[in-house]
Amino acid sequence: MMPLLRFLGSVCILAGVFFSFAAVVAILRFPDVYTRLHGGTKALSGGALLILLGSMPYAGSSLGALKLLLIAVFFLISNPMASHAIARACHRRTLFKNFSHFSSETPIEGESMRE
Amino acid sequence: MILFALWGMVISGMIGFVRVVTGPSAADRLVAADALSVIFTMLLVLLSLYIETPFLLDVALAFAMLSFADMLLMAKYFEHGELYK
Amino acid sequence: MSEPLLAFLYFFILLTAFVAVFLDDLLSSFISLSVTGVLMATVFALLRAPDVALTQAIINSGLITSLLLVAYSHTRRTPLPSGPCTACPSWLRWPLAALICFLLAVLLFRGMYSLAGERALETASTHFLAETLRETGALNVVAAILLDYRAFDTLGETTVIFAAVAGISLLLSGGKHVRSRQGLSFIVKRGMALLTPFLLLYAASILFLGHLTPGGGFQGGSVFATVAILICVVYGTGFDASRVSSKSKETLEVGGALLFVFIGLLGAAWGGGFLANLKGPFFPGTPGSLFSGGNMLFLNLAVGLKVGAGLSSIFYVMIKILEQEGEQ
Repeated sequence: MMPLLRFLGSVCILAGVFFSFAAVVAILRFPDVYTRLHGGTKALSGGALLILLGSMPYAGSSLGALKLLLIAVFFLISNPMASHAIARACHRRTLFKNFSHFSSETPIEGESMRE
Repeated sequence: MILFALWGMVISGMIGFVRVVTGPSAADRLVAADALSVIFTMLLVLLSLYIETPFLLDVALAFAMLSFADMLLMAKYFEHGELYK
Repeated sequence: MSEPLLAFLYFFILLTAFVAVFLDDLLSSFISLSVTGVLMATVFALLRAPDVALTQAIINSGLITSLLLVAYSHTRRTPLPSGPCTACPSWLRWPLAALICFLLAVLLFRGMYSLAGERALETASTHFLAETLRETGALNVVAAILLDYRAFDTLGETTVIFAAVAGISLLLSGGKHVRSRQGLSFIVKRGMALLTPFLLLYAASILFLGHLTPGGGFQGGSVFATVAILICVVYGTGFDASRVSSKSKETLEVGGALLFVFIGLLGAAWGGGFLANLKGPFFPGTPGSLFSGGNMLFLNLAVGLKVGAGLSSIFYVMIKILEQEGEQ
């Protein structure tokens, strides 16, 4: 039973690492901040959940497995909330008045002058 | 096997940091920092399995709970320009 | 097999710090600085120091970003000084900086590599690791050193935080609060309402179990302060729960200080000396239970009250609008 669980756990961990790598490649290669946010947060939430679920057979005790489940539940609630806040802030910005939605070649100031 | 996963997460972190360095606006850097915080939390979890110290799961739990606070603060500042509105 | 990983993480820390210094936009430097803090917490965890890693993770995430952002929003309207600084001759700037950084890097690398492996401990460390359970009754050696062997230094540290709060309150005393009900969006408000009880419970568990697991009064108090800052940020200052009056925060802070000193005086009155633990009227209890370690539970509570109330007071004072800004 235990070696089977460990095998499934290692499959989940490797799949999670692959999804995290895919998310980071998305953040590097996509053209705009909205697409970067989309690709980054969706793949990364799935990858983080897979890594946490796959680590549960490897934890030393049942208390450790419970802590991993707790981290997973917390990630499921908090990471999408933070990404939503960032996306809404980019949409309703006070700070990026000249923000271009379609290309990132235009030089954009990190802070703009508020009126 | 866990060592391979560890190195995979560190390489992912390094690639994600490239977006923090380039990235013409601060919003791009914030998106990359959000992803990096999740990646490093997972790195902490895998580390606790690798060196078999169960206390590091407490550190990973604390970091998972508080990293989203960081992102909320920066998002609030980008949206309103002040932190109290 | 963790040596290459450690070296790679050190290089990564240097890279993020380098980027944080040389980015010309301050907001992006804050973001890179928070990544540096995360990496430092990971390195501390790899070097088998969970207490320090926990403190670094907690302080770096909530408090440093909020205080830097508030300071930035207050000071960004002052113009930069004109012209380069002429105190140092121009041919000396880069070589001197490079030399100092190189010396620091060499010393740090040598020191960190010697910490990473197994080595014979010095006499003080072996005494602490062997005798802590018998002399204090607590399982966490770091908490025993902070609250029993050198508890007087902890009193000094909390006094430093108190002095910082007093100084900031004096400097920014002429402002007024702006009542605003905007906050962030509805999704974030409901998500925060779901998560806040668990954050508070987690903070209380770090605080009260500080003598058994990594944590303690300072870390628990910092998480309480972070929750207070988050409530003000997510719901706006017009929300009822974020209008905890400054009088009650002062009461909590002073109450923590008085509790600390009172416990110390109890130990002195019992004949064991100021802040005596087992030589005072406190008993060790069974190791691993909540009521063990003598007075460490109450000292943790006192430090947590002081730190939590103090740090959230700093934030609430700093978000006031100063009068001269309103006149512009």
